[in-house]
Amino acid sequence: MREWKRVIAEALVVFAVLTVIAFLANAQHDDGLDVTRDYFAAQRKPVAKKPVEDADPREEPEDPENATEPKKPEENSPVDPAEAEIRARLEANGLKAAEHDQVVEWFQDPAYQAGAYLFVDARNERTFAEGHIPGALQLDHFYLDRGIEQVVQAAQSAAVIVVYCNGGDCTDSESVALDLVDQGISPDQIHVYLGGIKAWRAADLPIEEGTR
Amino acid sequence: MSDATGFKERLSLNGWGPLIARCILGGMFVWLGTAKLGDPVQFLKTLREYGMFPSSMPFLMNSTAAWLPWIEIFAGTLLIAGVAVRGIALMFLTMLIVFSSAIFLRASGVASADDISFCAVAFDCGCGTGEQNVCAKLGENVLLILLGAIVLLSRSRKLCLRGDLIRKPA
Repeated sequence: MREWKRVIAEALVVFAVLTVIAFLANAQHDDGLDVTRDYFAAQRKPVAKKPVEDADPREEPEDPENATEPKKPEENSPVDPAEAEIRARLEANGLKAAEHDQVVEWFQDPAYQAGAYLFVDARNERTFAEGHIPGALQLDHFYLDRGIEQVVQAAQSAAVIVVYCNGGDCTDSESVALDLVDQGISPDQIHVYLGGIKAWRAADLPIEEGTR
Repeated sequence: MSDATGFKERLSLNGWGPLIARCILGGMFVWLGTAKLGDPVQFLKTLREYGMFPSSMPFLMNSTAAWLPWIEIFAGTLLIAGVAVRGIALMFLTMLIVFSSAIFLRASGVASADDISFCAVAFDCGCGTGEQNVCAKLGENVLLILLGAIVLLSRSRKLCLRGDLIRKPA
């Protein structure tokens, strides 16, 4: 019995010492996490009303007067519940979803080269380097300090800002859009491209590799 | 010699059994911790999928994601080096039981929601191995638990730098 007490004490000592060292290592690590930050705040913002397909008839919106109807998906397009949920959250946060055709139109507009449209890639550095929409700037919600200044500066002269990530259930573009609002950029300028890089690649549109 | 002592002696293989068990267990934890550390954000996102942490306290989930890869690497290294062997084996056993329970609960939820058999479920458990079949993962964990039990029950200190951190009083 005494022997087991020693083993348990040893486990607790090792656990305590290594815990302190682990947090110090995280603080020193380039990609260390900020333990105090609420990384997923954007996904917890109130959703005014669930999409029709997922709606629970027993649930009523808190304030039906102000509830916003989520944008209906295009006809004949399959409804992705994750995407529908993101759309509803975007609307609740005063942001807009951008459809694929609209994004392509902005990209092909000659004003894009002049900086009237700013594309922001919300994926991480590695995936950005593997291929992104030409001219896009990278901003990782989890490491904002690495690119926020450049993006905010470019946003000053842009009329439209398009934020995208992988598409599907990816929520990083939504988080980055709200980060930009926190930086004082008007939500009216910001459009979240829900199709993301997957839809872009699927349409065989140009891809740029490398970092910027 | 009692049957239990005899079994332990046979399992020991002159001290090589626990040494091999400790190297495999420690090596696995170092490898899995390093894989998690390669993409801490992905690990954090995967942890969130479990829905085990209260959203009102992001500190808890962030701390777990920040702490776990490092503790796996450090403790795994100490285990291979033979420092505080039984204490670390007990710590790893506890961690493996907690991880396996979490994976089991999440997989049960997925199986029931998708109306598929439990062993047809595959997801990224955040273990550092990417998307994996849940039964294969749980089987792997059972093997690691067995290795941990061998290390914990053995008194062999073969090639240990300091097998017991807290020594028996003289």
